[in-house]
Parts: sequence; structure tokens; C-alpha cells
Amino acid sequence: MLPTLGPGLTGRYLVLLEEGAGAQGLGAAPAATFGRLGVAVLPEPPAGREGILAIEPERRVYALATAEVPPVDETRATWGLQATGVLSSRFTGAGVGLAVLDTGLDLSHPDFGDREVVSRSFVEGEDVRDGQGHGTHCTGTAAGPAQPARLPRYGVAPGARLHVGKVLSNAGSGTDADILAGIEWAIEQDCRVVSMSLGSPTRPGERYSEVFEAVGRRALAADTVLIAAAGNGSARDRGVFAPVSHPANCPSITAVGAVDARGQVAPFSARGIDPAGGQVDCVGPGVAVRSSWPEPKRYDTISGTSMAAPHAAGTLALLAEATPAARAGELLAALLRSARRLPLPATDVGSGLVRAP
Amino acid sequence: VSEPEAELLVSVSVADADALPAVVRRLEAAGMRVHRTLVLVGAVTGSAPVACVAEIERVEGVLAVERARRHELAPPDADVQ
Repeated sequence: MLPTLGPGLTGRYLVLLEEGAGAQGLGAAPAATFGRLGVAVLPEPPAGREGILAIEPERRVYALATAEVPPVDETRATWGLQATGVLSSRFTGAGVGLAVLDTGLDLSHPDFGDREVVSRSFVEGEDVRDGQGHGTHCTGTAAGPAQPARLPRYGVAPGARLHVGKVLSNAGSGTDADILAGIEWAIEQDCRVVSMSLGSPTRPGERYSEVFEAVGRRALAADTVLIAAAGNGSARDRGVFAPVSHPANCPSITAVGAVDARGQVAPFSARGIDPAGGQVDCVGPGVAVRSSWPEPKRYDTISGTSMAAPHAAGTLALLAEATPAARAGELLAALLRSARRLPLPATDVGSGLVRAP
Repeated sequence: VSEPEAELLVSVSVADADALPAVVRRLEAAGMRVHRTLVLVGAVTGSAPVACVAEIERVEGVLAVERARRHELAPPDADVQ
């Protein structure tokens, strides 16, 4: 029996007519008929079934507005873990190799003291200890513990086999060559995903690096997904839109932009200006992100596409655990397919906000 | 007077991994000081006098030659990272 009136229903009926059938003989006079569509709207159910393919109640439709989001309660977990569905995921990235290439990690941090961490420094004259802070923050977001020394939880994939490659110095600088060495090491270590919160600015129309593109393709062939921050060069409040940075602008490297807790694009987040590979592929939480910081500070809340990329990398580790047989290309496709669509231009957010399986 | 040096990234063919040492020897013969040979990703990094770059580009087995870029993070206390 058809529902006559329910929440969201108008009380009228949509009738789908057979090809060539008219609206006559439906009983009540139609409120409207659409001959080209073969659809009639009736004030009551039709008398017979002759010439009718389907009948359904007419729904009320509403404009799709961006809902007002109340301030997020971060007592137990960061807004980023809540917005990406990590908290309700049963996956932790258990056993999945994940590499963070950055300024290293504070190995004495209470949230990583018990953690088995494979680490290596590619910066001449510096060990893997993080003398800057950026690497400890990004590592925390990608793979921080399920139960940190102090709440809220902030790490996406606490079960991941964590690899920390230092490719940026304690002064926060590095070269392409050291980054390539870090990628090679991550592949050697069977990491399924590499998180790179680094980049150098590009000019609009600048071609991507052929060397990094070849490396990205070979990484995928070796079952390793490379993920990089899209870049922070925009100043949207002043009408400035920066293209995606190197190496995130390579087609085979996933570029991650940043959104805030209301789902709005961060003012600094790069835009997919260059069509050949320079797209933003997806976005992650990148404004007011809390994560680990070297002692004695221990935690800090900062912003940047650097904070968004490890959310995506951690999510990929969860996907790798959920579908162990999936190849790198399939995991990457799953990351983009499962992203939460946002009512924003794809040039800014790609497929949308990454979402845990 | 020392010649200007360029930090280089060289992408090499990985179709035949056994051929890689020979490519590295040819790069060195062309004037490149090889720092690292990255077998899995098919890249060689190092430096060379700027005057040698054109010859390095012509080495058999080389797919692309680029200058290495520098990556600089914002200071740790900056608003955007």
C-alpha cells in the first residue's frame, strides 16, 4: 500500500507512464503532466494500472544548504579525527608500513616512547631526532597512539608500522635529492604509503618534475602510494590562488589540500590551476590541528596543508588494512572514491574530505 | 677559480636493472659526481659543473635531468605550516 502522507511527502503521486501512453484514464485529473518525460502528477492514486510503469509518492525537496556546524568538542579526539570518521572506524592501520618524510621525530615523546619506530636520517650531520617540530606534528597526525598521554586523541593510524625518514633539517630545509633517497628507503621498507608534508612553490603553467613523476609511477608499481601537501601559497582573502606545489603537482603523487572544521577551504590552501597533474586530489583537516610536538611542549595546534596530508596518508593505511589484497592503484582509487563530497569546486577540494573505512 | 656547480637529479631507465652500474659510470665519465644511486625508483643524484649538464643529458639510459629544488618549511612559530 502506498503511503498517503508522511514526513517529506506532499500527498500527491508521481506516475511513470508507458511509452506512448497518455494521462487520460488515470482517474483524477492530473495536477501536471510532462509528456516528454512520460510523467504525470496526480492528486490521488490512479484508478487502474493500465499503461503505468510505476507509482510513487511525491517528495518535498529542499535546497541543499551547508548546514551550520556547531563548534566541535575536542575533549576526547581532535576535530580532524571526528570529521574523517576515524573515531568510528574499526581499523588502525595494523601492520601497514607508513613512512613520514619530514624533520624527524622526537623519539623521547611520551606518545612514541613505547612505539617501535624504524627511522633513518638522510640529512648530513643530523640524526633523526626532530629539532624543529614539524615532523613530530605530522607523524603524530598520521600515526599517533590511540591513547595519548593526554587527551584528545589525534593520530589516524595508531597501528601502522611507523617509519620516520628525516629529509628536512632541524632548520626546516632540505633538497629534492634527500627526499628521493627517503622515498627509495620507504619502498625498500615495504611501506604502503609515504606522507610528505613538504614542497617547493611552482609558478602557474610550470611543468611538473619528470624525475619525481617517474619516481611516483615506479613507487605505485612497487605498491607504495606517495601523498604530498598541496601547498600553502594561496591568500584567498586577498584573491591570491597559488598552484599546487612540487612534488604534489606530479600526476602520480596525491595532492592534499586543507579544510577547516566547518568544511571550508583553508585560505592558504593551493588551487588546482595547472590541469596537467597539478590538481588538488582530495582534502584533509588542516586548520587548527592538534598533534604531538617535541618535549617539553609536547602538543601544539597549528595549520597548513602539511597537517592535511598526514590525515590522508593515515587514512590510506586504514584502507590498506581493510583491503589487504588491494594494489597501490586500487588503494588510491578507494581513497578518492570514499572521500566525503563537499559542496565546493573540485579545483579546491578534488574528490572531497578523506574518510576512514 | 672553481666552476659553478649544479645539484642534479637524473632519472634513468629501469627496464634493465643490471645496466644501471654502466649508466652510472657513463654519468661519471660525463662529469657528474654521483652521490646516491636509487635503484628502486630509478634515479641518480649528485652534482656536476654546470658546463657538463648538456653532456649528462645525452648519456645513454638517461630519461631526464633536472636541477634539485630546495624545500623550506615555515619557521615553527609561523601561523601556517
